[in-house]
Amino acid sequence: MTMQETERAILYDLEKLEDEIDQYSFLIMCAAECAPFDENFRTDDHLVRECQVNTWVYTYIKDGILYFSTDSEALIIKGAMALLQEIYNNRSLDEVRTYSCGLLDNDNFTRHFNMEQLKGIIEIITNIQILAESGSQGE
Amino acid sequence: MNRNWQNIRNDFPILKEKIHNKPLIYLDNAATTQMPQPVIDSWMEHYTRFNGNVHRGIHYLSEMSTQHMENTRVKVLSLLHGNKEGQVVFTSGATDSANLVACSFLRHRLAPGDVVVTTELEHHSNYVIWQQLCRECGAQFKVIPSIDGDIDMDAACRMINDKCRFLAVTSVSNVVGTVVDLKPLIQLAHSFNIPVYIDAAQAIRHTDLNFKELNYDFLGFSAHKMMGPTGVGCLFIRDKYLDSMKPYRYGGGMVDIVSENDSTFPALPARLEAGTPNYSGIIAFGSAIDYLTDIGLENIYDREKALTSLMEKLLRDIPRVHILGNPKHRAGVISFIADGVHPYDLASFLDKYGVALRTGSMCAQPIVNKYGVKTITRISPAFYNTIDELNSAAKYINQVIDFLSEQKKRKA
Repeated sequence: MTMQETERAILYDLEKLEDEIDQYSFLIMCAAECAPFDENFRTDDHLVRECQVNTWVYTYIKDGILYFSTDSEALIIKGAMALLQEIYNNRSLDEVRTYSCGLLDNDNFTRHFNMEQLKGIIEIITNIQILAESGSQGE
Repeated sequence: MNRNWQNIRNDFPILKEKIHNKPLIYLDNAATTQMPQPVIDSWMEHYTRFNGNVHRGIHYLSEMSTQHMENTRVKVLSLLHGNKEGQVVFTSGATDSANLVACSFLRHRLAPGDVVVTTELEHHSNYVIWQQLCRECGAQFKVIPSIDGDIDMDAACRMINDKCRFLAVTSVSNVVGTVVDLKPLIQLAHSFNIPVYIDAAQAIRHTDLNFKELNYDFLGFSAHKMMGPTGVGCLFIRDKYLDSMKPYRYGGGMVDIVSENDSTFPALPARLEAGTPNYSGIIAFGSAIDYLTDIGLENIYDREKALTSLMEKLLRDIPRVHILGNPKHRAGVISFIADGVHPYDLASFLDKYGVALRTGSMCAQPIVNKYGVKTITRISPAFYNTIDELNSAAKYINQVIDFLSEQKKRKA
């Protein structure tokens, strides 16, 4: 699936669950789908600073492909990160550069996060885009 | 008491709201309380009939606003039984009250080598202020430790001595809910002629802060934790120290004579109330005091004590839940952690069930960190909560912890 198709599938799954509690449970259950995080990157350099929840993000480019790994103390954030991983991980730079993430424009996704968390998610996506634009190898 | 609690609850329009299509269960009263209709009405009435800037004019509206604002000052003094013993200065809240004491009083009295003492139970607003002032003045900042939620009185006796210049202590902890036994601490401090500041932000709805009984020197609290509006607070200053309070903010309303060479300042409270005060808020706060005293403060103390005890019992029955601290007396606040569950997950999930409670460090990192955690979950009932609400909250907490624990296992 392309990034766009993956995003559509995620939003479709959320939309099917009309009840807010079911949607929230779904996001939490997504946390289990997050790939294991390399402990070497659980450092302050990879920490997304936020008041209540520590979240780590490690993105890098190798041979023109973007890799995205992540972990969070809170399952709801980790669930959101798992969805971003599904969209962004192991994608060509060309695809990332032309993709604009629509999760943040959809109420079925955004209503489960407070303003601070949404700010953090936007920051992560922006940093991925900047990295893809620069196309530099390594982190 | 003339009215029953259900009838009183009906005074609070927000409690009829639905959150995420579920009835609101508001259990975050330690952060802020909800406002009853009579207080909302008094604010409306002020702007509908009486608004004019206070202390500035002789016209009717200005006089009415001034009178109504000053009535609140009298009500606060009466609430504290301090009518003939001190003065009340209006501030923007408890934090502002403590800052006022730091800047207007203590800053001019501290010298290198002096000691300021506070306790491990404090909110940052009764901790960081004194810590930073000590850094500025070259004084030492010392913290009385706690044992299982209560202040270590042996340590207090060692730390409050002739080197100490100021004691700042909470009356009720916003994390553990400890009701601090203030009397012996104040007596000990006074035996060395040490002024005492009481942070009453949490205590004001839970315990009697009778000046005649406790004999404190300064006491600060916020209106929004006692059914009043935000942006209004009070600082009680004992007579003995009134003349020691230097102006720390300058502007209109706090000067006598101004010339190019110098300015002179009036007596308290005007000297410390620069600029236009939040008089509409202060007037509404006066109505909140009337509202609470009509119900009866003793009735409120008893009701909230019973609800807090019930909540504690319900939480203790939930597997994986650990309540922070075991103080001799607890009021209004219960904080807990649940094995393997992040407080943010728990509270954000409970929000979907309409349950409002608080997570984080509660602006009290020293005491929260003492329990080996960075974030906790806090429940704080008020008199308008019902037993059914507490039972529902406990049921949801149990359910959500079960679900989150299962998901954590899936991850593992």
